[in-house]
Amino acid sequence: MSVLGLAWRSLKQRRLSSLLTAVSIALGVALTIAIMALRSGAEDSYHDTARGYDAILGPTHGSPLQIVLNTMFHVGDAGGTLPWQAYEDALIDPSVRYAVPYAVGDMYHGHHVVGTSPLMFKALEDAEGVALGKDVRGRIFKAGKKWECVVGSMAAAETGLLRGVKMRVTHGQGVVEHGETWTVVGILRPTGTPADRAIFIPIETFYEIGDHAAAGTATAESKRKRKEELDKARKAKAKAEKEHGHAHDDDGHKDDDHGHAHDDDEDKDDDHGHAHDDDGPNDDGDEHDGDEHDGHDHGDGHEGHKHGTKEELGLSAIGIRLKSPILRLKYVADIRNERGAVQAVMPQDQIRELFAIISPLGELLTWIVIMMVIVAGIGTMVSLYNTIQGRRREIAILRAVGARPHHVFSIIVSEALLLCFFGGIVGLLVGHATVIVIAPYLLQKAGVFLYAGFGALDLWILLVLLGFGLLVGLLPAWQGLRTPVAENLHPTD
Amino acid sequence: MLALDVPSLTLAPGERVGMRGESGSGKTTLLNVIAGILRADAGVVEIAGEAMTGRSETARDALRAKHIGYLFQTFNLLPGLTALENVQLGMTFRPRTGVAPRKAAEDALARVGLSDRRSYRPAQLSVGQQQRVAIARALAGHPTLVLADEPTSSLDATRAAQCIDLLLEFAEESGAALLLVSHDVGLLQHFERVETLELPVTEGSHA
Repeated sequence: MSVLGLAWRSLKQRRLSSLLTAVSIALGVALTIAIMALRSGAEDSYHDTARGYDAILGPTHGSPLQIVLNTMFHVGDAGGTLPWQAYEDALIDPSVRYAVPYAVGDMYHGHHVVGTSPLMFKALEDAEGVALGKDVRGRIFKAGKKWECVVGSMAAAETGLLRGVKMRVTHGQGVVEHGETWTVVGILRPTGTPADRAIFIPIETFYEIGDHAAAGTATAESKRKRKEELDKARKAKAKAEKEHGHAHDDDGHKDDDHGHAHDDDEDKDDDHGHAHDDDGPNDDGDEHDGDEHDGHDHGDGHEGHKHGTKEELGLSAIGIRLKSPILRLKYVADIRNERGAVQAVMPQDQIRELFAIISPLGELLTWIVIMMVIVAGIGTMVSLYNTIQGRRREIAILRAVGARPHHVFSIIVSEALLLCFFGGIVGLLVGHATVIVIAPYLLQKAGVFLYAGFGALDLWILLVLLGFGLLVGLLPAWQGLRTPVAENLHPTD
Repeated sequence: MLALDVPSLTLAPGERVGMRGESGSGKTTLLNVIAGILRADAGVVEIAGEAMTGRSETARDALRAKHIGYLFQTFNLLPGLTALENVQLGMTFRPRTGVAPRKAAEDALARVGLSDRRSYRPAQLSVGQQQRVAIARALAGHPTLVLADEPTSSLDATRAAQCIDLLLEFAEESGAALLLVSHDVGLLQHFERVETLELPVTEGSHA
C-alpha cells in the first residue's frame, strides 16, 4: 500500500468533509475557467470578427460602436440609415476592394434578418481564415434573385429552417409578419462567427418587403423628389461609367428592381450605379416617405419607414474592405473630411476601445475568482488541520508500525494534493461544461464565440493548483509530524 | 520523575517470554522503549545486533519497521482500512524482502482464519476478529521480535485463551521471538519463561 493509497483511504474515511472541500475547489476552478474563457473568447471573437472589414460606413447620427456591433455582430439596432448613394460611391472608389451593403431591421424568431449581397460571404471569414460562403449546405443566393435566403448554422438549428423551407420575417421584434416569403437555399457551416445566428436575404428583396396597401399615399411632392433623385442617380451612374470605362452589365436584371447586384461578388464595378426606377413598389405609384407609415416600427433604425426603394430607405451600413490595409486611415479621413451623411468607422479600433473600457471589469472578475480559489485552498488547509487533531491516534498507529515522519508528512500533503487534484479536475470539467452550455447563448445574444475545448491553460491551472495544494498541506503535515506517538497509542500504565 | 528498573533482558531468536508487572510498573513504557517509540535516556536496546538506542527518531522508526511486530492492547487497527489493508499496513514501511506484501497479508489472514473477512472494516468485525487481524498484522512481515502489550485484556477468557494460543503458534511458525507483557497470571502460564517488572524507582537510582 503506497503513501498515496493511504492518503486516498484517509480521504475516503472522511467522505463528507473531503467532498465539500473538493467541491469548493472545483467551484473556484470552474468559475476561473468560465471567466477566463469568457474574457479570451469575447476578446478573440470580437477582434476576429472586427477584422472582417477595414472600415464600416454608417449613418452620422449612429454611434461608431453601435454601427460596428450591429453590422458585424448582429447586435442591437442600426442607429439610423445612410444614403444608398454612399454605397454606389464606395463601389467606384478605386481604393475599395469590396463594398458590402447591409440593410437590417427584420427578424425571424429572434434572429436578425440581414439584407446584403452575396459578396458578404466571400468578404467575411471565420477565425481560421475560411470564407463564410465555403462549404455551404446548398448554395448562396444569387444577386438579384428574389426571395431566397441563406441561414446561419445556429439560426437553422434553433428555428428548424431547412433547405427548401419557406419563411416569413417580422418587423423588428414584433409579431407582425411581412407578406413575402423567402425560400432557404443554403445553410452556412458552423463558423463560430456572429453569422451563425443570422439569416441573410438578398438586399434587393429587402426593399420589396412591405405592406403595399398604402400605395397612393405618397404625395406629389414625394414623387417629384423621387424622380429628381432617380435622375440624379442616372447621371451619376453615367458619369461613373464614363470615368471608369466600364460597360454596363444589366443582364439578368431586366426584371429586377435594383440592377445593382454584384453578379455574385465577382466584380463590384460591373453592376453598380443602376438607380432603376422600376422597383416593384414604385411601379404602381407606391413611392412614399417613410414618415407616412407610423404603423411600422422597426426599432432598428428604420423607424417610421415603410419599405420601399433603396433610395428611400437607404442602408444600415456598408462594409468596406480596402485594397490594402495601409489605406485604412486615409480612407476614413477622406470620408470624415467629406462631412456628408456618412461616417466611416474602423471596427478594430472600436472593439479595441470597447475592451479598453470593459477589460478592468474582466480583470476584477478574474481576481475575484482567483481569490475564491485561494479561499477554497485555505478551507482545505483548515479542514486538514482540524482533522489532524482527530487523527492523532491514526498517526501514532502509522508511526508504531514503522512509518517515518516523512511518511506521515507525505500522507497528509498527499491528501491536500489529492483534494486539489480532484477538485481541479472536476472544476475543469464543470468549467468547460459551463462554457459549452453558455456558449450558444452568448453567441446568440452577444455574438461571442467561446472556445470550450481543453488546452495548455488547463494544464497550467492544474499544475498551479497542485503547487497550491502542496502549500496548503504543509501546515497540517507539520502539525501531524509533531504528534507524540506513545501517548496517542493508548494510555500509559 | 520515575525511571524503569530493568535488569538485563535477552531474548533468543524464536524465544517466547512473558513479563509480569503491576499496573503502573511501566510494562507498556518498556515495550515502547524496546520498539524505539520512546527514547531511552540510558541503557542499551539491541535487536538482531542493531542498537535501537542512540539512534535518531527516524532511524528508530526504520529499525522498528524492519524488526518488530507490535500487538497492542486496543488492537489499533485503522478504521478506514479493510482487514487485508490493515495487515498490509504492517509491511508498508518495511524494507522490501522480495515477498509481495499483499500475498503475505493474505497468507497471514488465512493463518488467523479470516480470509473471508478480508474486505471487512474493523467496525464490521467482532472484538475477537479484530484481535486476530492485529495478530496477523504483527506477524505477517516475519519480524525478528513481536511485542505484545496485554493483547487479551479486551477479550473474555475463552477468546483470550484462543488468541494466546494463536499468537504463540504463529510466532513459532514465523520464528519470531515474542515478548508479552501482562498482569494476567493465567495468561503467563503459557510461557516457559516469565520475567517480572518491578515498580519504577525514583530517577537516578538506576539506569
